[in-house]
Amino acid sequence: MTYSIQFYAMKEHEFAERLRGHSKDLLSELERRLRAEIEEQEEEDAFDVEELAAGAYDDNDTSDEDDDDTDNESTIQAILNAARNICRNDLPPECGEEYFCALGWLLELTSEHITICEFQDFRYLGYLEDIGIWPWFQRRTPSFPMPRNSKGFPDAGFLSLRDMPEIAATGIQSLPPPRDPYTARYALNAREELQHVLSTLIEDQLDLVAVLT
Amino acid sequence: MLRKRHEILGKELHCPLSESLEILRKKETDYELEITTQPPPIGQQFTRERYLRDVVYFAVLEHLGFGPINNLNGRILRGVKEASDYFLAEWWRANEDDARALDKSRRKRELQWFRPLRSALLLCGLSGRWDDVVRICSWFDENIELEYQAGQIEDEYMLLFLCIVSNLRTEPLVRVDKMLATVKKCRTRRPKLLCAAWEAAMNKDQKAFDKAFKESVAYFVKAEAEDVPNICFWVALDQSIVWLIAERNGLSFPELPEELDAAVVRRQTIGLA
Repeated sequence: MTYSIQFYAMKEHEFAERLRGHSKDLLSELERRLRAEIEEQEEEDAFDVEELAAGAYDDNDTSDEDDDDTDNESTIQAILNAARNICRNDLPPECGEEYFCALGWLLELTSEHITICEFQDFRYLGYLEDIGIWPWFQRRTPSFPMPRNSKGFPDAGFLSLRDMPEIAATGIQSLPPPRDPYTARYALNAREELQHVLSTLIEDQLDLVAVLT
Repeated sequence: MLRKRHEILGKELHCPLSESLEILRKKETDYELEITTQPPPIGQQFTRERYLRDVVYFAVLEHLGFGPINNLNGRILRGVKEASDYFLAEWWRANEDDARALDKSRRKRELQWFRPLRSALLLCGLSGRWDDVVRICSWFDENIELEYQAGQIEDEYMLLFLCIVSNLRTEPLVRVDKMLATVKKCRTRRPKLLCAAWEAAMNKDQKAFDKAFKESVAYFVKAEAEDVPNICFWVALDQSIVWLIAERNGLSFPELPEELDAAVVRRQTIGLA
């Protein structure tokens, strides 16, 4: 299992307004995108099945396909339901994975996705602790509904523009050295890269949301 | 006595040189067999891509001071030919997976261009075969998708290579200005730093190139170079490509601190100029 953090730059109040005032449009667009993605995946799978059938495996059994369709539909409905609840600000105290997936999609549709490679596909959560930035993302509650999970994974965090100048100027530099010698270099790079990203967000006056999945 | 570049970089081979060379030579022989005698429909895309990387490996061995590599020039020229074939020949027709990787006419495709392109540009640049670069770049069009890289390479970094391709073609790609603007707006450093060096090289601006190139190589050495058995991860191959383009545009190699200098593979460091 690996973990990743996806970052999204946005203006907090504009995003809150999109969720409140335009949820219908947003949810329709989300459904369209989810179905397109699943359809694409199904085409891929169909291609693989054809390949297998044409190759060494003489197996045309497609009985699993019906199960896959049901699974896909229930996944779509779970994410849509979670997205609807986020828009309505009707969140359970402990949110399941579908809520973080839904938040990621809502942000994908409305915000700027930032990939920071050092936060992708890491193998243990201790690495994130070593980087040391996550507590800053947990400090404030944003004005839009954000799913939370007290177990720490999956989770989401918010970094307000108000906090960024201090974190970028002194906060990151005063973090303790990473403890794990094997990943220390990557953790330090991750800090520096985030520091750089924050400096660009300050320039553009944007807030930052992080989704840990 | 002058230190060798691998010593400057503080790196040692993880297995004896003779063993590495033997493996590489065996892979060369296997490659010949696989692409000439292998009956379809066994896929060749991976083998062909790996071959290009192996030729780069030979050049990097020489650069780092593990040479002399026998017939390096011949190997690089063969690499240029194979790179041209990778993109322009139709070897992929016999296999579905290969066709998905190279056939641009397909709706469902997973084009594999990013890594082979980097090897191709490096090999062509090192051997001065810029006409082959033009031909290879003619394979690209504005509809080429970015490859899925599991978040390990920024989309903007791949876009930058499409911008580089566009500039090396006879006709630029449609919408290249938009692509370049996206790269320059990127919030992470790697694409922006390499882009700045490449733009300076394009503009033949020596002063800007000296500054931007140094920053990009320094970033590589600090954040990206890996102490792993594969020596290609020790050196700044993408910056080396940008340098070769700059050299072609008449720029001089900047004065760099020893460690940064040792990380850039160039014609002079492998005995081809």
